[in-house]
Amino acid sequence: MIHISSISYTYVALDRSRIKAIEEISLEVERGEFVSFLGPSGCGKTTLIEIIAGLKAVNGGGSVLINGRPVNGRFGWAGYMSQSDTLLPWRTVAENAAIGLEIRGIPKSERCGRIAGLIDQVGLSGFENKYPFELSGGMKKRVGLIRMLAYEPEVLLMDEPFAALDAQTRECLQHDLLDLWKNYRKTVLFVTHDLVEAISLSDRVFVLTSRPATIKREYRVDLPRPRCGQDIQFSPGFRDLHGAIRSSLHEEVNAFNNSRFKLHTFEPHAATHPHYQA
Amino acid sequence: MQPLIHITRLSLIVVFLLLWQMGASTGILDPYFFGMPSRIAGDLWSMTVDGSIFYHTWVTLQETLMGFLLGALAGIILAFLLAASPFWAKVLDPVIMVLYGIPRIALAPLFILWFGLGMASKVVFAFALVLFLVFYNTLAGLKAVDREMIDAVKIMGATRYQILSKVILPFVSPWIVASLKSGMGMALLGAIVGEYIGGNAGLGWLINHAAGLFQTNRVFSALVALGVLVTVMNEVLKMVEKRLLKWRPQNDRLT
Repeated sequence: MIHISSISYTYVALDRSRIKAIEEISLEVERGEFVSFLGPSGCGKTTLIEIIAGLKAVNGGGSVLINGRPVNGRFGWAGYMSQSDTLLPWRTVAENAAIGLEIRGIPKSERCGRIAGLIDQVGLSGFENKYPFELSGGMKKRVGLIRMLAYEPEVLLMDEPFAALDAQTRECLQHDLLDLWKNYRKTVLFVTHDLVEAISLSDRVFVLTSRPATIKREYRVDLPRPRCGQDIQFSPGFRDLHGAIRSSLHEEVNAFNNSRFKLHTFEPHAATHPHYQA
Repeated sequence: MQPLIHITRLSLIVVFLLLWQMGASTGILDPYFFGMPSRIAGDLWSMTVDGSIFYHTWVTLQETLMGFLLGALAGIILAFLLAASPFWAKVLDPVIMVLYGIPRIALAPLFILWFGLGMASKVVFAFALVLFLVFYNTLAGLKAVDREMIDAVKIMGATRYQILSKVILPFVSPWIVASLKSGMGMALLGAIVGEYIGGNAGLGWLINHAAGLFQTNRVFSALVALGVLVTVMNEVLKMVEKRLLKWRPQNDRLT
């Protein structure tokens, strides 16, 4: 249902230098599939998801088709969640969760009915009338999850949504996400730099190269579902996959760091720095 | 805690008034220059009976409110227009800067010349004071709008109008409310100064007129009326703020 064919993207930095963020990425995602993009931080993962979402237009050729139609300028078909918390602080939990339905002009009485079940599923019953500043980080993310699902988009685009959470909370939310995904069978495109997260959630994992991002390799995750956080991590299949993807990813992280040091001509300074260790 | 605060505050005021009264009646404070609380009370009573204190307060209140509302509205609209059009923002920026930089009091005589001695000139003066204050505050709020919040609702399919009404407007509301609070004081200042410079009614005119005749007690009567006016206006604004910004953590509220 999603066809991405050889998209490239170059952006102009503040000093007017041109930086190629994405080069010739092509892939296809089936309806109901859960795929992850794994890559070193700063490699262009966010740019990729923003292009798919239609927030950025490709400027180096290529196209993104959803159900055969190009995305540019067309919104409303995707749910989106980023690392930062984008709940509207002046809206209560229920009002935030229902905003997608509100935008579609669905009357208030119907909105309440449609979000009640979701609020209950993520354990936020009793918090409907709280404001975001009264919630914990994990609860805010849960509101973000149900806000995204409430208006029933075809595709969920998630850009490191749980990166800012502590390990326990992250695991709970991954569990919530898988639960919701199982019930609603949405197509999910998930960006992360967390290897364990990528494997335990996805059907397929794409490892991206450091800037410019291209697809280095694709891994199919054939582990049985439902996958429960702790158990799955100790299965042999998981360990093998983890090892393979990790070494692949490590090359890119190193490549990225090397290029960064060169860019900033860091070495001469580092050599004279008191904390420098060869 | 609360009753103790009230009692202490009230006692302080009573002690101050008693000292003033005693000082004035024994001649330590010359009542000619400093007035006397008992006579001020008497003067206030006579002005209440003949209704003149209400008349002057009403005139000043009308000038203040009209200047305030028009100025705030114009400031908000101007800020939104310039935020939407970078071209016009660049064209007008230095012009607005100069108009803002000129002490507006310097313009008061011109306003009196153009709009006469009546209420119009005071409204315009208050308007000019409030406009820039609200404009710059609203603009600062608009520049701070969280891009990601806009993207989040955009992806849901929000129209331009929905983005404006559901994200941008609520986002800048704390900035606007903050500027309204100081803007109310500015509007009152505009009305009073306008009445000083040229007028025939209002509390500012009353103060200026009474001072010219060395009616010190009358000056204080007008000041008392002004104090009551300011208190009422601030309470109303506080209520508006509380309703509008109930989504913010208490200690984060602009006081």
